[in-house]
Amino acid sequence: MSDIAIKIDGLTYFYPADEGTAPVDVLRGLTLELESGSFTAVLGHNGSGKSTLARHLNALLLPKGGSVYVFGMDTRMEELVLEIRRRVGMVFQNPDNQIVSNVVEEDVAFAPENLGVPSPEIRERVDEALKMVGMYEFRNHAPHLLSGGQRQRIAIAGVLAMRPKCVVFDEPTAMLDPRGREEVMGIIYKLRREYGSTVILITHHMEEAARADRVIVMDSGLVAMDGSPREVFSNVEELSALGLDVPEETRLLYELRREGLNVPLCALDARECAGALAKYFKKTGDIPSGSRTERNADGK
Amino acid sequence: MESNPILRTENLCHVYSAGTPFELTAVRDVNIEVHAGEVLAIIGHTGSGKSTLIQHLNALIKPTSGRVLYEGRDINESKDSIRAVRGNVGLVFQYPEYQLFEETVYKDIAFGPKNMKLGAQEIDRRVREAAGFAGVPEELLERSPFELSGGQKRRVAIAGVIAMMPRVLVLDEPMAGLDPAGRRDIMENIMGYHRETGAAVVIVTHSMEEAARYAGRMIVMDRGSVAMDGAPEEVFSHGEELRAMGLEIPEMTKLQIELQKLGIELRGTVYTLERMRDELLRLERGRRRA
Repeated sequence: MSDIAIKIDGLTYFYPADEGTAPVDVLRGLTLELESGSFTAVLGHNGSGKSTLARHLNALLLPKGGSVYVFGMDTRMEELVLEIRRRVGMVFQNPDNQIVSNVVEEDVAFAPENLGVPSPEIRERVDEALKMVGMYEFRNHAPHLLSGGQRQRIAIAGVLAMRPKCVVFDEPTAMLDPRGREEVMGIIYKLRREYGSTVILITHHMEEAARADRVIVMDSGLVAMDGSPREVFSNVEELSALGLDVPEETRLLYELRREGLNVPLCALDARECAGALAKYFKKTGDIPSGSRTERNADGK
Repeated sequence: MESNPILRTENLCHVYSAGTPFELTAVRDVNIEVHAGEVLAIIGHTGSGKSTLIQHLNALIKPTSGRVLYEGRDINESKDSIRAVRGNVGLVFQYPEYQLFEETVYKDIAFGPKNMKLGAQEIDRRVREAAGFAGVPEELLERSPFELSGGQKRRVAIAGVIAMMPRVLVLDEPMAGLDPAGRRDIMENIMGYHRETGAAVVIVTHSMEEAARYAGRMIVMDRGSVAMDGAPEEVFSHGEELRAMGLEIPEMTKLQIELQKLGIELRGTVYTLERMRDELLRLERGRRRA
């Protein structure tokens, strides 16, 4: 049995109501366990409760019902909050809401300073975090003169300087261009490889979710689907009903199957999809003239 | 081009912080045309100059050198020409929901037409029509914009620009930060305005899929200059160059390249799912016949 990083049991949460209206239920008895060192993507349309869930993982919000245990610590215990926040770092959508200083390295030092880490160790942590996100050479720059992707990397470095065991990314790439998105995904991989961190990624980008070990789909404050990316994305109709897309390759295969082609249910990227299609057309042979080269004739 | 452009830039340059150590040429010698009634996508990674470029299109910022012409007339010529272009070229910023400020949704949408000094009846007509185009339900009109969800706020902001009934609607990343269903809905609303009024739409986006789905023409910006200008099919056939500029190519074009490596050749440049499906079904029909 591997360790459990996060254990959520029957979690309910509602936002307080305006006068005369009923409170809005956001989480409605959600139960979930996340293994230590795992990489989980959380999908769901706006309003499905994803961000509210995320905010429970480092005690920014406290359960109205049920419980959240983080590395064995109950988030409702006030005296554990600081320790919980040390273990679980949060990265948000907009880096500009997370950056507080005019100099990159001072910004990254902000959280460890607040945690009372001794100065020499702060230096060490800041350098390490900046190297981790590939921004060390920018340590003396002003954050506001950097690109959105670079600012997001600074915000991530600020979280990593706390040396968390778990990092929750709440739509970290929503405001970034493709290059910035790739930079952030690169950091997530590195975090797992080098630190074995537990990563939770809330995203709308199906290609990003396809790279996780596990995908959880939320709907109306509950877990609607839970499995490997392949298992989850194979349910094209169910996902569409929840207002979500699937990777385009998977949708293509779905539409081809509806036309009677016996292709697989799911492909997570272009290469996998091309392989499946080539196999289909090759196995069944007789690709019409003009659409075959010598390279695929060997299979016949 | 055969038809006269409704809007065009002529050797447009824009330099920020000129004469300081932070001098930055954001737009360099740009000549683009927007034709009446077309849907044009402007693509480029962060820092390529696309946001600076479009802010010139309704005289929000002035060129360092070069001109912007609306129906052949320099828009920065006089106060009158600036006022005229603000009514004809509507600009929706990135994250426009941060700019809502009125007490009610209705007042926010009415702000532009009011500034145009229209009569109360005409303002009312336009507010309701614009709300309809942008997908803002009637019952939200008397609510405070600050009570709305992020997606609803964005619609209100778009309605505020549509209420001026611009002949060119320019949107900077209108779908940023929305979920897939929200992105599609907002684009469908914008396209509805385009179809029903014949207005030209200029849309700045990072998403190649969305550019491919909606635009008839694409302009690719790179380091302040126009790197490509053409139909999506043409632009996407330059996959390597796009990647070198830090841009993604559409998933279906990637798939076409992978299929080609495995010996499956498709016709033309495939960049939408519909086209890919149809091409593969064509192969399938050939296979079944054989």
